[in-house]
Amino acid sequence: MRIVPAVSAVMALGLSLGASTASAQTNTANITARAVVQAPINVTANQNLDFGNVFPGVNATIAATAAAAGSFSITGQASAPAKMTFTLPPTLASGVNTLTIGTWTGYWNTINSQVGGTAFIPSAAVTPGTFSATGNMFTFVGATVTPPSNQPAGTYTGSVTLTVTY
Amino acid sequence: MTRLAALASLTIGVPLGLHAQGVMIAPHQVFMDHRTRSTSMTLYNPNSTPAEITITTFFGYPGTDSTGEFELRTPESRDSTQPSAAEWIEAFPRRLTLYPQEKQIIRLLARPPAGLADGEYWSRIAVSAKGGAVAVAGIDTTKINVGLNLEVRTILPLQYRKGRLQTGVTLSDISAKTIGDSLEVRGKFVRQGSAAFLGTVRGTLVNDAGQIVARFSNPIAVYLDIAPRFRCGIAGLPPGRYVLHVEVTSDREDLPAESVLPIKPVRDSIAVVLPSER
Amino acid sequence: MPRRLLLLTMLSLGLAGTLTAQVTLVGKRDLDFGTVMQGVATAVAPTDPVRSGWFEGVGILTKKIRLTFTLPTRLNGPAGATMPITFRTTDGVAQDGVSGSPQLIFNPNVTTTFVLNTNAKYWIFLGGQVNPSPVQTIGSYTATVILTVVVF
Repeated sequence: MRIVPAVSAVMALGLSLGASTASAQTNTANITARAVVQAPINVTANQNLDFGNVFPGVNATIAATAAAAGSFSITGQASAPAKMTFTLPPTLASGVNTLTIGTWTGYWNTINSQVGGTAFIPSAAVTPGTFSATGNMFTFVGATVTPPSNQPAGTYTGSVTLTVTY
Repeated sequence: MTRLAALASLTIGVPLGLHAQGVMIAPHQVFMDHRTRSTSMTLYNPNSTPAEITITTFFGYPGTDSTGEFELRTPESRDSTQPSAAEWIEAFPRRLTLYPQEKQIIRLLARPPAGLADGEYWSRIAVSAKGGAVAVAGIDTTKINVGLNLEVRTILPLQYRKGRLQTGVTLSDISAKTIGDSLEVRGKFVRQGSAAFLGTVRGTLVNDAGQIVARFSNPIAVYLDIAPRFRCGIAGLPPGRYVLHVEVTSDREDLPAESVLPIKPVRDSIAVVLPSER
Repeated sequence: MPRRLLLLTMLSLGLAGTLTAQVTLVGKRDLDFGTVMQGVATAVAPTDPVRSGWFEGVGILTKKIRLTFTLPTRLNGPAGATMPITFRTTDGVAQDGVSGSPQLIFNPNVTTTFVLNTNAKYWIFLGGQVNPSPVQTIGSYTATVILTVVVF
């Protein structure tokens, strides 16, 4: 921080001695505005896996390339490699009741599109990815639920975790 | 849909609508110095829902698998020869809720053991973020609903440095083969010196006329030794003889200059023949 | 200050008696945005006790002061990179130089006049917002904020 009095205290006094006390006195000081810019990484879950209405006894599948697929977006350093791993629930739970979910499918791309990318099988094993030249990567996941004909009503929940290693 | 069918239907997905979940983290590579033994990370929630954050550390470093893909090596059994800082790096706070549009500074403090030798020590920082629990109030209880909580984990490198460090890298065994419209380039990179090498690999493909007809550029981290693969687009290039030049430098646009250990550029070249049928 | 000039000044002060008062202005604290992320606008409130810019001045009780900021539009960074900075109409705060005294919000983009009614000492606080682009060059950015105060 630097102090720059255009008219120093002593000078101001000196000037006021030779002039009316009503004359204006000017002071100037400065400070610095500062910021440090850092490159972030951003992993965002954008859309859940949405099956809509599913009927008991009828398997329902959402493909990773479907509009209803779950989606994640990742931004980071351009052209850098990034590893993806998934923690996937084998079942969804509603109290003591469970609903089987499986046959997971995945698709990743450097643009937000489910065309022109790379299909993969989401799992705890590493799926390699690479950021685009603008530092973007998008991942989509799908799955199949297999409700038996006697599936009880309820609110079924589970968690899908995407881990990105940078 | 009949009433009966409606009762029997299962609604799988998000009954109340979904909001993006996750946090931005900066920097994406953390450096700590033995003199200060502390640094910070910034978390920012750009989304419209709160995120529950958990921060942990563990030992790991990048390597490559047999196909040249990067992998994170996390040795299950460690000995004193492995330069782990994970046991003595702590994050404050380790758990927090980050509300929408809110920032949080995470302090990272090191408590290294007494007599720590000069060198570079590594850790990984795992930042887990998940949205709050899906509210179920108001859901039609005559249907079956499913709410999936999404969680994201981001694993970032941390390097703790003590003393004067230097790094370097050797490049050998460069090879290239065509795969469709790409040239897959591989090479062996071995770290020199006392710290991991962080830099950039650039490749240029030059034709007989001396013109650069294709290029690639990738950031690279060589903690020990790796044999990664890179892709260079060659769509539309005529078959024939080319020369591939590979250069490794220590410049990194995404890292602060003061944290990058400089090296003299390392270069090598090989002849490449692009076949007519690809 | 040379000894002779100092003596003259002291004599002048003695002759002048209490006709004049010392008028000063000091930059006390930088406007510090800290670490910002590419693509994320970051604001500092003028009331932020750590990051806001802070000037301290001493004027003359009952007299008016006129504040004029010379505000940057960009911060300068590595290799010629620049980053936009803006100041909102509520990014200026004026206050008597006493903790807890009432604060007056003003627009630092325009010249503003105050009367020092209760205290000759005053504080001026400044907030702002930086707007890094998603591809903003990383590194440190700075610019100078100048405050000119005229005491009538």
